[in-house]
Amino acid sequence: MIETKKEFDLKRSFVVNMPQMAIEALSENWLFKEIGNLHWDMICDGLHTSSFNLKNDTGSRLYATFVRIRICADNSIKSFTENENVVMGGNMQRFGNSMYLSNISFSSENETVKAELMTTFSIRDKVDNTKLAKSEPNVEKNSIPTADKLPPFGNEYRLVKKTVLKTLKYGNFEFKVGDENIYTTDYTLNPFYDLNGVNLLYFAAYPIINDVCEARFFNERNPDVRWEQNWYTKYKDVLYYANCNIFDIITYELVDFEEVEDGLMKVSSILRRKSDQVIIARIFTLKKRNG
Amino acid sequence: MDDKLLEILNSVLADIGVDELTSLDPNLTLREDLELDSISLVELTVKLDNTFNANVNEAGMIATIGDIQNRIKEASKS
Repeated sequence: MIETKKEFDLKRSFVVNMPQMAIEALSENWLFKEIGNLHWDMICDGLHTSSFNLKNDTGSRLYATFVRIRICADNSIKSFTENENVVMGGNMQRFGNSMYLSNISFSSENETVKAELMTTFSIRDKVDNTKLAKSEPNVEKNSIPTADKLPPFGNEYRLVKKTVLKTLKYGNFEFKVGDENIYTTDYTLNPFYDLNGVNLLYFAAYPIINDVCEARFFNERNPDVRWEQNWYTKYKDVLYYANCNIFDIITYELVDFEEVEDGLMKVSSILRRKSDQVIIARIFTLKKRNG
Repeated sequence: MDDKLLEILNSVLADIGVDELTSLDPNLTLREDLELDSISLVELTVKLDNTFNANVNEAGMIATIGDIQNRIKEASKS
């Protein structure tokens, strides 16, 4: 029996089958989509409106823009197996009227992934996806509890963005925050997969684009051991800075990597828009070797 | 009001390692001149709301220190 917290604001159950899996593990892409969807539903529940009707005071449709998502598995996403029952539940708080933060737990009998998500609201420029303006919802009632001060999760984001922090700490691990790189590769967007329903680069696509490019590096370095089939995500921290247009090319930059323990690889990387060199995300990863 | 506003602005600037202001110039822009990002703008908004009971974003987004001063004045009248 999976233990579930009764005090979750919102809870869902799943069975891990093929749509939820990739490379003999839980699909990270699917996981990001589902925790993002739960976060979004908690916002709509708390604001007592549907996503379609969420608008600012001038009547413009508002979109939740992911600012930062961090996931951490007890072991790794490889620990989830086919036909397992999983329960996902989350709680939400806000800071002001435009910043929403959730803590989500995703658990099977033998494994738990803890996720933290932070969003603000944006209105879209109809022509250019690189221009998303910040805005806030115009609602009569907001039932989501407020935080007294900016949570550390948000404070870290802005300090990393300004590179005031030179390293980002998580537990015993320190990830390098820098602009120098030891490897670069380009990624051409797959619009059928990478874009969401409103033609924006989907937040869940960023970590996968990162993984595709990261695998190129490690597979070139060690062609005998396929990276994708031997190293699985234990931890991923995605700090989102910008979006892009359908024809943009993404440049992946590997900032740093280190095997911090036997079978645990720490990786820092950057995604940039190739057209103007703007950083669209910084990503910090721990991958665990299978077996 | 200006002393309190200066104190709030400087507390947000200190958090992101930007030099503090010695006085309020209404023409200074929040994003370009003060280098406030979206997170810092949210923090500033919350602090202004808590101190002056003024939602400075209510009538559209603010861009300059002068915009903030005007919104606080308007809120104090209502």
